[in-house]
Amino acid sequence: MNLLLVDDEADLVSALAERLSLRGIEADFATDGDAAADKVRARAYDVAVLDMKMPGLSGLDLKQKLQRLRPGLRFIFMTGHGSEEDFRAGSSEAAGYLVKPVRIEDLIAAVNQALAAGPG
Amino acid sequence: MPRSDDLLFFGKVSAQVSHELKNILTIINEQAGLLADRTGRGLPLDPERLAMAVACLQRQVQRGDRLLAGFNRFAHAADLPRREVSLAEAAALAATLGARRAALARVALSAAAGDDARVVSDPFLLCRLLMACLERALDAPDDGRAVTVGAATGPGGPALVLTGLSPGAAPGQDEAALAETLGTRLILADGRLAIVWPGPA
Repeated sequence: MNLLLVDDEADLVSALAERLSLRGIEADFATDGDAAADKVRARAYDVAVLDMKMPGLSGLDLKQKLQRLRPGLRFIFMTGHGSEEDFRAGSSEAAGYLVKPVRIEDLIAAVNQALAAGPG
Repeated sequence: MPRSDDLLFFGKVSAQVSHELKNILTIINEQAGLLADRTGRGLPLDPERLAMAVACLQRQVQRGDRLLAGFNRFAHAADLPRREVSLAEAAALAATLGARRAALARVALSAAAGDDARVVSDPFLLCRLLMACLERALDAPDDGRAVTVGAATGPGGPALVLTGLSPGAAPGQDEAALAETLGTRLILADGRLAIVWPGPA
């Protein structure tokens, strides 16, 4: 399983990627939409985990961009906001919607659910 | 000024701060989780990696402390409807509260050093006006800019000055109404917006 983690907080995604690798899950990370798009062009990921609010492209906009690059890529949103508006938008647009701080077991469960649901 | 606008503003700032705090807690959670993962699995934790994790945790604690100190000042701005206000402190508070919003707009926001001036004003409304002007400055489409906010004194009177504004960052009706309520003038020229109090400092 290959994951791409996208969040502008580098200290977050680097630690999360390392924690996932300790569990046998390969995870790359990017801290902005352009870098994420470059990675998706270069590699076929199974799931992309996106922050909802990032500099430049929002999570929702980035999802559309990555989906055009890799149809079938599944998405999970992660947010610190937890507003009703974000929840409606995020949960309708992705296979999973998690509120920070996220328990790693919950993230892995959401990833497995997204994979079980089939291509996005 | 309708109180509902004040409440909306308070809610908006609170939501931004809580979002930022969630990010800080998330980073602390992941760094602590990483250390727990490694020690729990009996994996080696080399001193360099441990020092990196400690430095990260300290950075996040300092970031949270700065944010909460600013949020506390903001919350107390509503204590009294009129009191003496340091314009340099008002500028520093706006820079702290606007930091995340600026990062999202890819704008480098900072408080500019300048001559402080003290005015008697409504601190909460002043914060609303300053943040509304800042919002305009950050809304402009050209990212990669630097915006500063600072206090200034001059022959026109004490002022709060925002620099680095785009041509489209002109104040709107809300800002004009707030400025009038506070007895100030808004002067926009050459990418610089000044909130000016009458009389010399």
